[in-house]
Amino acid sequence: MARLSRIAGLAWAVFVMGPCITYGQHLVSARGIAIGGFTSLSRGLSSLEWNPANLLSVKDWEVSGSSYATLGTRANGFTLQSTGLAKRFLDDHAVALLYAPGKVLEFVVPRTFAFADSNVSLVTAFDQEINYQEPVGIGYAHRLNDEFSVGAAARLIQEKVTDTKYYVDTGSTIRSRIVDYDGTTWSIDAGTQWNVNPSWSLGFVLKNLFKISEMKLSDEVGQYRLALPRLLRLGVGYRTTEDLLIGFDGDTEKRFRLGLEWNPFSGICARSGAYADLSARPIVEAVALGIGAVFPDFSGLELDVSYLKFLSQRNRTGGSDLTDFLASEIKDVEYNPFTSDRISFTIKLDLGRIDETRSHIEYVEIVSDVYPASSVVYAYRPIGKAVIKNISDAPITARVSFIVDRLMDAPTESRPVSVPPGDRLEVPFYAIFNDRIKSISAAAVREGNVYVATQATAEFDDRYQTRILVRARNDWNGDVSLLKYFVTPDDSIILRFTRSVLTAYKEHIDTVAAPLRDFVRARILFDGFAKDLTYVQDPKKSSDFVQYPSETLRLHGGDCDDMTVCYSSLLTSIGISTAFVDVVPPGDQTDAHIYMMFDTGIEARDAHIIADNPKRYVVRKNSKGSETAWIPLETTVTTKGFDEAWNVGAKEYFDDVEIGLGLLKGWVRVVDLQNIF
Amino acid sequence: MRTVLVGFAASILSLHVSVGQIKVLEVKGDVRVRHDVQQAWLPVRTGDVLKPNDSMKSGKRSGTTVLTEGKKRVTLPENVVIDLSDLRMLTREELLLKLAMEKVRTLPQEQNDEPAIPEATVLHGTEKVPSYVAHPGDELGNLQLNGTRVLYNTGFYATCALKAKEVFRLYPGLLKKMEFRLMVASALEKESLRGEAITEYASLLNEGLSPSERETVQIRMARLKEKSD
Repeated sequence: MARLSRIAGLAWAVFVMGPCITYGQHLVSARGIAIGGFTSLSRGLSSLEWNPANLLSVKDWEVSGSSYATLGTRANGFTLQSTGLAKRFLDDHAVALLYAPGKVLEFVVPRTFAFADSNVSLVTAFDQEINYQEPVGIGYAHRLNDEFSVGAAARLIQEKVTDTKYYVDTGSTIRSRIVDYDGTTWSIDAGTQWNVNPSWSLGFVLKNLFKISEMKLSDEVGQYRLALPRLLRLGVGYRTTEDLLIGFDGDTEKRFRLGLEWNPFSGICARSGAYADLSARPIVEAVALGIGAVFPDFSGLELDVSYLKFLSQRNRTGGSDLTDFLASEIKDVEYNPFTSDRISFTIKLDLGRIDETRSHIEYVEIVSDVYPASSVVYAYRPIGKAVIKNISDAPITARVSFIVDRLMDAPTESRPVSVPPGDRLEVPFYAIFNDRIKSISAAAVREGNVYVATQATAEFDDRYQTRILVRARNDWNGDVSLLKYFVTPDDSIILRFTRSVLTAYKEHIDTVAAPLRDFVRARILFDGFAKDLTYVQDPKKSSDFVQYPSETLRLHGGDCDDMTVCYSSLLTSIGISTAFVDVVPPGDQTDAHIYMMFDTGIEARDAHIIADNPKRYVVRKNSKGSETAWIPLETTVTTKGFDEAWNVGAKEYFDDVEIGLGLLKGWVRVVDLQNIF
Repeated sequence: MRTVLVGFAASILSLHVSVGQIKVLEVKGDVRVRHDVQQAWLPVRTGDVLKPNDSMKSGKRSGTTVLTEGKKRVTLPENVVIDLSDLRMLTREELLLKLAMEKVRTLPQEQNDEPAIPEATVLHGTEKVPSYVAHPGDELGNLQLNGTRVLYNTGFYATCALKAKEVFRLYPGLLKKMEFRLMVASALEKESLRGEAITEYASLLNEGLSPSERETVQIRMARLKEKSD
């Protein structure tokens, strides 16, 4: 017994400083390594480590994997670091699972056991193996609103120490046995992401907020327990331009990281970062470089490569002083004083519904009511405008479409427009109405739907329901340039009328000198048209009421615009050019008035053959570019015949245009009807 | 004394012209008026009150003096036609706009993106008509050009230039009357439109000017360019 006691008393363990303390460690996400300041910028599965709140950046399903190779160590080849899966659901929730077989930190500590008594002196060497792992991580995130999201992650941390125990058995023989000490802990992190505006974002992460120990590492090897201190990390992200992103991280362990990502070409990124530790010398302990490529057409395939280089290689080349090892408190399996230079690769795939919502419609403004007669103009002039916003963090190409059920056969689509991340853009949209609109007899409110889409494959990102007022078929908004759409020279009733009237005067027309024939035809048509017509005011309505020419002929009456439109239709149907004269006297807009003029086809120098007084005609260029005499006609005195209508029209034109300078001052407009179809 | 006062009042009243009216102060020989857009020329008598949309015409060895609403006496010599609406001063802006409209006339017609009937390259069924050849001569144009001289001499430079340009456009044969074209350029110069005046003078250099006219044009252009510098 005394001998045994002596043996026990003399037994001591000797730690020897050795060159072969080995270890392995890793950092998740090549992109994160390259930028460094990644807390507010992390995306997808890598957010499990950096900021679980950012798991919401997952589009639908995400699969990713990382591997790395250490440099300057004896380790060869690439190690599968991690692989995982993330899923977004119900728009505002996301979960993730990470399996990380390569997230391991190992030390082999050479030790000796010495035994000595008076007879025997024995020294034997053995290895003590220390192994840390973080093999599994799970996370959850929830979006509170467009700006805020929160998340939590749990990481399983395993500690294992394999030791050799020596003892003297009952036969006084020295024996040894292997003893394993295990520790298992779940460490809980919490994170918050605040997307302040399109340029700025903030991330807050509490690492190791809670620790749940399933099995604590024995006190016998208590010195090897991972410290896992609570720490607060703050990350700031700033997008300076569409192409440049800057990230900065700082934590309560006095470690800071600053990095940037530059996007010189579409889908290609260059990254660099610097790592600093205020408690270490030199303060800047590592720099990182990286590149990345995104292939949106291949399930959002993303490939990232990074290179992490430590400025001091002490303890980072696969071996370490034992004193350094014992003095260092390992607080993180991934990043610690023994992390070595490395090249990392990450591959990421977006699966499932990758047509995420990237834009939405902020509001829609319908520019004007729809007037059926002139509805064709909305194919060329915007009927409304939508303000769309890019709610993604990348530039988008958006298209706005619009449809009114039953009145349009298909939606119209705007030209594609580019919108930078976070920006808003006003996009005009158009409408092509079908013929049903021409049969609307009373004004009615209709539902219109505006859509914004950013991807060819997606139906749309957002929809906005609006209302438009569709006026009755005879309504007119007072814009004389739209009055021409009431002119229907190809209406069979108009064609029949002109042919029958002119046929009745055929013999007379044939005797007229050729240059005067259009003038004479116009006079005959006017008188034929006038004999049955009466001037009648519009019905009392909120907007101007204009009859179609066939209605004026059928009803034998109308007001100035009805008669102007009807007579213009008659002349246009026999190939005579016409124009509307719109007069809106300054200071009295209620006294607005319309009359018309037509082209006699008589050249200006020959105009004396229709009138000795030049005030009776207007010299204008016709559609062929030659200057001809046009005759102003006041159609409200239709019933008094052509000469009186000409007298009044010419006097009005001279007074308005020559005396009043109305054309010059803009209160008289002459609108040609050459563009009717 | 009473007679004097009544006479003074009568003379004041006789000079009074309401807004937009032109009073005929004196008539000699055959002077006629054409009201607004009417065709007929009617005789004018002293004391008649005319409107701006009327025109006046004086025959051979005839003449008249009128008082404009701006209290300006204008004397029409023989063989003149003048639109009374031209007896007014235009603002510089109005004149520039009118000149711009004249220029626009010479430009191709405006195109817009609204639907239009495509122009056919061949038009079928058009009537074959001989071009009109009968010309009454440029008598009216000549009389109107004489009227522009009246406008120039009475200081209505803007309406003088515009009316002369209109007459030249309607009666291209009168473009040969270099003295009137020089007058147009000079009227523009009087309105301080140096650029427009230089353009007018420059267009004259390509025409058949007499040596003295050419020298006049060159001197005036040089003077204008000097002022511009």
